[in-house]
Amino acid sequence: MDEATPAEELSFEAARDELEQVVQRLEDGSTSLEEALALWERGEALYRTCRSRLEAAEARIEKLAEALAEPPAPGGAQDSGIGPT
Amino acid sequence: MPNASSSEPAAVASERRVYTVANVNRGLARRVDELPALWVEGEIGDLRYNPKFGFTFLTLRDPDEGATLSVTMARWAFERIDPRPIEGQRVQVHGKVTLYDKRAEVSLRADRIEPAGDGALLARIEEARRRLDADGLFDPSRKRTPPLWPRGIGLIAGHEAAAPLDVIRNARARLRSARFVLAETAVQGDRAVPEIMRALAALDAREDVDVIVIARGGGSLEDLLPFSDEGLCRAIAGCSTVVVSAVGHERDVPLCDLVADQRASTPTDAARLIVPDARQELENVERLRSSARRCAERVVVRARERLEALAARPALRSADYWVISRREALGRLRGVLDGAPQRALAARSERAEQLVARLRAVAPQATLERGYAIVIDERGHAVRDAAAIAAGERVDLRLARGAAGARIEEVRTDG
Repeated sequence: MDEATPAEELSFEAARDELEQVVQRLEDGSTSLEEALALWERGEALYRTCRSRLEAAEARIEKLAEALAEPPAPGGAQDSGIGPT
Repeated sequence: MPNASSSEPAAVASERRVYTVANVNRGLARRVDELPALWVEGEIGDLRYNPKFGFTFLTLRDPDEGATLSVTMARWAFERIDPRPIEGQRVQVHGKVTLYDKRAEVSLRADRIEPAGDGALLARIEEARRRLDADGLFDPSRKRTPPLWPRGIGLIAGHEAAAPLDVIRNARARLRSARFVLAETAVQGDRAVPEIMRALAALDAREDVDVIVIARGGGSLEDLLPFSDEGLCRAIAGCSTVVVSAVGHERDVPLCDLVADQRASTPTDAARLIVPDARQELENVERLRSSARRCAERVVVRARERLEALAARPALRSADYWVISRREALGRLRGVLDGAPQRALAARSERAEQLVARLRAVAPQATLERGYAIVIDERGHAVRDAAAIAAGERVDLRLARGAAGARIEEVRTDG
């Protein structure tokens, strides 16, 4: 877990996985007061990152610009062994 | 035919070309033999197979026009056909037309019989399937899972088709921000395979596409044929990006389904494979956050409780606790000290009272009753001898009842 990375730069998976680790350490119950507060703060930041990813706005659909409708090369379809009867 | 009873000269009759039957038949046979081998399609009728005979016979019937053609085949060749052709089956037969010159009977000497219609297609698909399987392209260990959170989803589908729209809609219902890169291609017919392969290559090359979905609705075996194309399947297997095949309905299994990393039988299924369920993930994350908060709170509360427990201890309760307790102790000691003289005094007077009481107790009360008195001098001693007192001394007279104070007037020592 790299705690140096700002939470908002993490991917959703990374943030969520780290959040699980934070909870685990807190649940262990072996943290000092300072550690517990620091962990909780980090947990909140990770949580905010996860939330913003999940609630992101709808993205547009991009159409592939390449010309895909070129006529097939001669014999190209038959070479593969299956063709219409 | 010239009339036998005509009046034509014999010379005309001798110019007629007359053939023997054998000649005609042989000629026919030769002509027929010039025809190349060909494929003929029809339904099998009158199938006669006998393991004792060297040849198998059947009739090939044109179901539309009713024309028939006899077919013969070497028995060993017929036995090798798997599955065995049956009566009524629609087949394609390859062979040469021959004429049996003894009887001018035409038949097709067959070297191959294959199922026609769907059967033929299925057989070819099966051939391709075996080749792909032999190359290990169906191996489960090759299958990869799509990434949880794709940056971009490549979608190969037909123009204006329902299948891709369904996939997009279902994916967006799970994750609103799902981003698609759509490649529209032919999805049946001749152009499907090369177009799909080109789209595959283009999407695979893009860094921002993390999963590719090939989507096509249901269709006939022939419609879906391109998706069992061996070349296309090899291209799918060779993709570095994870490929999800969402082709046809549940019961259709085109070869691309077997070679892709994942197979989806419905658009909902495809959406589930390629994007996370945002609502579910949000619930999970909320739960984690609550746990984190509760745990942290517990730690804080415990620390505070311990602190307060310490603070409640008398030693810490007030700043001058020590002073006060010392002062209290001091006060108690003082009290003891202050009371000491009085107590001592009280104890002494108590003793004096006790002595007097004892004195009274031993004083001869009867004697006193008779009128005698005890004379006590200034020193507290009882006087028995007049010589012990002098004139002018005060004495105490103790009577049977009460006492009196007196001063000596004169002393007489004779008796």
